[in-house]
Amino acid sequence: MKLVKTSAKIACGFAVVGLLAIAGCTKNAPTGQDASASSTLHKVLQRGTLRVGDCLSFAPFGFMDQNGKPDGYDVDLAKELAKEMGVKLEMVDTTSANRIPNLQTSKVDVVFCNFTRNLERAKEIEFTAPYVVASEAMLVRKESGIHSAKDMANRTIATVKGSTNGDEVRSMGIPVKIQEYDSSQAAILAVKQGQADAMIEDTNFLAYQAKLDPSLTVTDDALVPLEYNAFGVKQGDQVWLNYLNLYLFNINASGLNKQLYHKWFGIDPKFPLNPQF
Amino acid sequence: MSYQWLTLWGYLPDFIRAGWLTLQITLLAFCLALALGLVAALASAARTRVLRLAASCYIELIRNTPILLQIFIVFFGLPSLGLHMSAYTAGVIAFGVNVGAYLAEVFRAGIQSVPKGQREAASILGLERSQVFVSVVLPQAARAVYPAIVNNLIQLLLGTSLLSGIALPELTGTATVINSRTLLYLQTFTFTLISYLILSNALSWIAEQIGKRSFHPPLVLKQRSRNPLARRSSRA
Repeated sequence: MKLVKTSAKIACGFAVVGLLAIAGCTKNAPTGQDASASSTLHKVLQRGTLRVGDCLSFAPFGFMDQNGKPDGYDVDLAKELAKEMGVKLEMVDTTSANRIPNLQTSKVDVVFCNFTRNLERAKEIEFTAPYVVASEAMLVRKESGIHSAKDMANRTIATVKGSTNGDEVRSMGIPVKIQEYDSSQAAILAVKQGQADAMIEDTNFLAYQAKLDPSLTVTDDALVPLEYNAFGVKQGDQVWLNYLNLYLFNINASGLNKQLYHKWFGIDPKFPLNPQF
Repeated sequence: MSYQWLTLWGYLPDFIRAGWLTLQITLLAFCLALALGLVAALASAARTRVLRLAASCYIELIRNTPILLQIFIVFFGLPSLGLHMSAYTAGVIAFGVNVGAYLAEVFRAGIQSVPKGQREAASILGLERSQVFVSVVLPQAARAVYPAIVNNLIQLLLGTSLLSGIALPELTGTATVINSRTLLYLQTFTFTLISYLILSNALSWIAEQIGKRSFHPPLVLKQRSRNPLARRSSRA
């Protein structure tokens, strides 16, 4: 009994000394080293797995293929990032509603998801440099002879209920009729079948639709200011942000990003990633 | 709370326009349905086998498939065959054809309900075959099936809500658009329900008046008495 007590006392003493030593070390350590150790970059490398949040119900950015595996433009970019880091990739399905909470609670390391940057969101999370640029344009039938919004006088625009997509053309002073459908699929079908002349949506989404159906094409309009969509990360992790920005810089410089865009959307990117103001 | 209802009040002109469109489609489709139903009922009782076969094909095909798909075929499918029509025309045709099949069965039942003796008596009195049908069989059949026809009319009125799926701004379509702008679910859909209630009750009332005036003795659709006991005592 006595022996046990004594050894416990000694152990306690060592523990206290050890803790003090560790505390002292941490206090005296340079802050740069501290930041890099607590960075998501470091955690991912240690864990050996990169967790990428992506909207996997948003083809062709992210979707489930026939075997139930994630596939798409975002997924290809994520695979490349994991390869560069030398870690395994885990795709986490998110929605546009839960992607910010997913970052804030560190459920994922980074969110792709065609994330549109705005100052409201930037109060909650941080954004990388852009990886894809979007505006809004019109999906039309090739033989319709419509090349831009100016050709739309007295024609019909199919939109999705609740969206204000037709208003941009109206505000240009062009008289148009508007049909409001329940889903974007129904609106696209209406254009295909000639029940409407054009459908207004995100340029990348429309490029993909035109790739799926060669009888359709996308006009060269940019009906809303360009959106430079990016990856989102948790706030306050400059090391991880720098790493992702360098990754994006490299895949843009090497042309890999452009190549992957072409693979999924069937065309070269319409708008350059570096803004011209 | 009340300002939300006031917001909806501002959309009253939209609701009136949508209600008028709903009523137009209902009445036009119903006229088409009456004509198609009568022709199909006659064809299904015809002596020629081809006519009978054509009628039963039409009735069975339409009555055993969902109306929403029939609307989609008319609006989204027929353009592939080069047949373009507006959502309005597509709605009238789809519902006319659909309700016509149901009315055909109603008419057939009505015609069969006229006792055989009536036809025999009429032909013995020297009436032609066509005269027997128009002057003896049809009026009695019409009286028997009138409530069922009115019922189909109300069903049709409510069914036009499906046309919101092909972007027709009728009551339900307009309501979903207003709802997506205001996000006042309860208020928007309550307003819409009330609009349907007004329309269906108005149609029922008109149908009742027509029933009273065009049949002899007057056809009363609904027995209205304040007190069930009162009716019993009056009968006694």
